[in-house]
Amino acid sequence: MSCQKSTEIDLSTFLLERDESQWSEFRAHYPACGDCSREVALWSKLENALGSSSPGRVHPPEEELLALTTLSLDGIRQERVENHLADCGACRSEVAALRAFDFSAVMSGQQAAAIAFQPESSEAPLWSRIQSGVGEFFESIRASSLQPALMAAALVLLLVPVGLRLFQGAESEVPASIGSVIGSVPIAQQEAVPAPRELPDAGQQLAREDSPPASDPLPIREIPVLEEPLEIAVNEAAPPVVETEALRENSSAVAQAETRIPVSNDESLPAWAEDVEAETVLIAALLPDDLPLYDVAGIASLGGPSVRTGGFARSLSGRTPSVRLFSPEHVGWTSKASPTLFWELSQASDLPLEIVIGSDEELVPLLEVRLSGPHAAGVQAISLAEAGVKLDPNRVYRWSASLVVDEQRRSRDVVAGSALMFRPPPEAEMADFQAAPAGHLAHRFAARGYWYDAFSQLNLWLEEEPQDARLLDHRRALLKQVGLVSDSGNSR
Amino acid sequence: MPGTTRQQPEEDWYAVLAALLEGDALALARLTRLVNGFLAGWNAYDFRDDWDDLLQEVVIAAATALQEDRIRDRRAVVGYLRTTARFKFVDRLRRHLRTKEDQTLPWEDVVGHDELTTAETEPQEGMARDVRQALERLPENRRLAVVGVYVEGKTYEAVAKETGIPLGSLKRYLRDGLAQLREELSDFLDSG
Repeated sequence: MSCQKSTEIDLSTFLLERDESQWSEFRAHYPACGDCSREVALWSKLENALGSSSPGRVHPPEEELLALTTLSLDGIRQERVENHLADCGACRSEVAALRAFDFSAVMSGQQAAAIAFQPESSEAPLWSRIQSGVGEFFESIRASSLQPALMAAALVLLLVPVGLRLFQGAESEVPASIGSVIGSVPIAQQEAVPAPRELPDAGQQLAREDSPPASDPLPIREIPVLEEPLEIAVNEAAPPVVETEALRENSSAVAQAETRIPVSNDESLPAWAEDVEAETVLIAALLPDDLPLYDVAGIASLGGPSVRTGGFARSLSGRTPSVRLFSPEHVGWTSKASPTLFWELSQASDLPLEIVIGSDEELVPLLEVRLSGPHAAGVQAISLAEAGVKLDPNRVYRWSASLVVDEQRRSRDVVAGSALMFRPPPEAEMADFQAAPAGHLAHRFAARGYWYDAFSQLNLWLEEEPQDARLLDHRRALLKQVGLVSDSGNSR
Repeated sequence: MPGTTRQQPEEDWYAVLAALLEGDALALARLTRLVNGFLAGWNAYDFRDDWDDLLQEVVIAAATALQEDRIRDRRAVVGYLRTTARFKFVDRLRRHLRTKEDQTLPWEDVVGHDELTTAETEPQEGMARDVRQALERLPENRRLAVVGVYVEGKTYEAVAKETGIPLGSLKRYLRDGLAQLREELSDFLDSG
């Protein structure tokens, strides 16, 4: 025997922990090593012999794994299956394959992806959206316990493109892409629910050539290049506000970026907001040096690792896109009663997309909405605040996004699902969030276990700076920690 | 492993594959479990990045073959799936390990041998009896741990809860139990 590795290491431990990172070197070694291959084969043979020595060996039936992927298991069975999946890599792979499989790869063309829905124009007038956005912002200030001065500072921090445009005397037209910031993109809607926002791609910032022209999928703004980032002083006295159409528009983004409190839009503007000097700072420059660290210590017991279902389809035909939800694998927390939920389409699609949110305790879903196509490829979002939906605190909600491939055979839906819980932050956590320096809020959310909020926060900043490498790195880090980006940085 | 208990002779895999072509999700689940059983037997879980893709590739390849009328014999479906899985697995493994064109990986022999024995023989009753007897000779805690996790396929947590053995101790008993079984079953294991 020329290689001593298999005698130096405890192969029985390897069998128990083979998924763990400390064995990665050995996993890459033994297939190419004759001695180690033989030893591993013997241990594997023992493992298989044990597994087949009793008819009592139980894996969840295929029906249950399938039902898990369609979120149709009852609570008890779901818990049992999820507990099994926690320790069974083989079944986890089966579930992953079920989620990702693209039937259009094996079905005839007319059967899959055949339903095309014509878009209906429902874009609200610009001024209505502006009014709504501004009202939302100032309502959010009123509704939150944050200091107005702090909010004003946040406002200033995020006036990235508009401030400079004003300063430079640029044209006063609001860029078309700004519409996406407040959730009204030119995507047809059938219900009185805001269309999903389309955001910078969660993977590499690649141009999508297959996006339908109607929805302008990636509203990339011009980011002004500053010679030096401006210093921002947070004063107790509220800064004045310059009232312009563009500024009002962007204030909505600020509200979403730093508070995300569910709001109404009937509040008049506070006096201090009448006149402010627009300064611009790249939010990425204010990010902490460290990547956000998602702390699951307090929430690991809330659910199994397989709450998140769905994923990328590796379609051979490429006809039907897959849907991926941005969520942890367990029941993720949000600190907001009306959070923003994000998903991603692998490619543009004309198929209708259904978003459903409901709890196991209620027969009727809290939200069930169908969004007509066309849908652009990439990251999209729906604001529950804008949809007027509020989650009950400390209740688990399941949510799903389904592309309806065949109206008559809904089993063919491309479905992705996950779960979340509105957990009102304890006082200390709320204080921590309120005290977060500009650019640190996403990290604070992540550190306290509020993955949905952390991800949402980074996306809101990315709406402002969609090409910023640091922001993208931070978001990628957050995705990686919940298994949505591989070690190599690629989307799973 | 999933799949090893599913390969029942009465299952008409041709019909299952045909159902997949009609968009039957349960057929997909059944095929996935079957193919997963092959892959698991080859330690595909050590190459996790490839596993999920492999599952889909193999199922799609078989479905395409059926569509194109390349599977004439109804009994050939399982063999087609197994062989396709092996080719694709080995191909990915070679790419993963950057194997040279003319180099053969030792693990390929393991995979090929496993396919041969799986395809040609039914589970040996003698082997099963030896395993059961070896299990009975294990000290109680080791036996409880090995039987719960490896024979019955329960989670560590479930076995720990049922037996009252703390999780950390359970893993130690598992490790020791496996080592003892490896020793006691060496004749059978080394027999090839």
